Amino acid sequence: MSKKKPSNQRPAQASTAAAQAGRQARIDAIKREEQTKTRVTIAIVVVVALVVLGIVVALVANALRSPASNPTVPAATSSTSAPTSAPTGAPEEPATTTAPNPSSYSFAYGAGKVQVDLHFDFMCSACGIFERVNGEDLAALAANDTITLRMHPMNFLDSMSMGTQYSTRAASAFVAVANQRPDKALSFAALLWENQPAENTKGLTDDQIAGYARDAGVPDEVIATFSASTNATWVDASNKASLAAGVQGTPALVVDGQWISGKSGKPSIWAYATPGVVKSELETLAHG
Amino acid sequence: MAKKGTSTASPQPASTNDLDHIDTDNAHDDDLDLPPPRRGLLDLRQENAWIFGFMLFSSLVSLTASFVLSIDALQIAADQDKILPCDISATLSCGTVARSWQAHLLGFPNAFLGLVAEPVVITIAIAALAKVKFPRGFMLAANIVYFAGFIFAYWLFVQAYFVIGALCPWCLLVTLSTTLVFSTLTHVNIRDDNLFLAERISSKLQWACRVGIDLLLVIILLAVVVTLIVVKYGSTLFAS
Repeated sequence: MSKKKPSNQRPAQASTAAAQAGRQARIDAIKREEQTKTRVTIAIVVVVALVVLGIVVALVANALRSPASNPTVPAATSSTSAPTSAPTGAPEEPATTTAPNPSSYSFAYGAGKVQVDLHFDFMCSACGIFERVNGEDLAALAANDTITLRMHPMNFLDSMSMGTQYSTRAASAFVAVANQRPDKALSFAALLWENQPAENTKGLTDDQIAGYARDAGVPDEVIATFSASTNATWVDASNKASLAAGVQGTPALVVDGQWISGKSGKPSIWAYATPGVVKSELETLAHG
Repeated sequence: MAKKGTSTASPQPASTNDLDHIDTDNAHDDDLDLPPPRRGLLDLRQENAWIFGFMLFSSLVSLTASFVLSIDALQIAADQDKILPCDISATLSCGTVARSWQAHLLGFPNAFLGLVAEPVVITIAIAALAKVKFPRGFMLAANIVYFAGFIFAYWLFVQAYFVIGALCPWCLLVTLSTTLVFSTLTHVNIRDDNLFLAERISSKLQWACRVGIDLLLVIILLAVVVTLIVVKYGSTLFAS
């Protein structure tokens, strides 16, 4: 920094030297401040650059880890990303060109012409009420091929189990059974509904879930796969798919593409909490 | 004094706002001509228009987010199993956070606090942009109250991150905007010496603000938040 014209209008006396020294000190102070400013600016740029770099690295690492996650064929994706024996092959016949399929993340039971999609969360108390009233009927209708029942497990209520993520744990167990012993899945689910924990409790323990699976006749080697992370990953994806399909609340019941519940403005699930109502309506649809 | 353009004395007595900070505490040698300080982006930060404009913008963002979160809270109160538009996945979910006890620590949704507090900041920012000078005590009180809000926002972030285990996009926006409002408010109060601090501390802080250390701190804080999120949720966030 060049020294500007000294203040020579003033009387050149002893005070000049002092003033000169003071002036020099202040110039130095300004210089130092400028230097600090530069250093701080550099620090800011470095921090921002590091964060951006970190995000880019995370993005790249992630892109490498999940090859070709193609959203149009979610069933295939779920099986490719399964290194263990857990949820492999698409549980339902890969959506034959039939009716609009809200999401491929589901397990199908029965082969009736009435398409019933049920989106649920094992922690959701309304789902529990719905299932305890209608679960057996739905299973029976699927068993005699009156309906095709597609079960869509969700986990959006994970926060309602005091940190234990009951929704994911229960749904993972269901996924493991549905993949490996489809014949036991609905009876296992029925036991979970029968013993459904209240919202905002810790939910059933893993041991309790395993116990109900055993009661339903699920073999131990299947139970051993309940906690496989691939199940939870699948449940996350299933939850996402259900939300993408338009689920706004659970239980979401969709019959032949018609939203019966689970969307705002649709009649409440409570209309279907009367035993037999759902069954008779579905039978009418199938036979009428 | 080297001032922008004109050499006439500034009409505003509040010269602390201007560029000549170095001079303000040594009024006796005002006529000493020093090299004009370079004006960089860091200096722009010291000006009212920038500070209060930024504060206005941040508080409007915060108010919007509070509105959305309040409406979400009402919807969830009406229907526990309701899925909100921002329930994007299990980990990215407003509903998950909104259903937690932490979301209504004081017995009502936290977002209501934003609805109450942000309009005050908006008013301060607009008034200050219109050249209103608030009393020091008033600004100190605003700073203290907003500090409580700032702490609360980060407590909530920590809870959501470590305990609830879900990210809520609108909550994160509140965390961000609260940080920005708090930092600008504190910055302006340090600059204008509104915090009733000892001269020595006050001038140290003013120096820190001039060289941009406050900005550096804010950026480090936000960088920590972003890093935490990417570390824990990166694979989920970037997956889709």
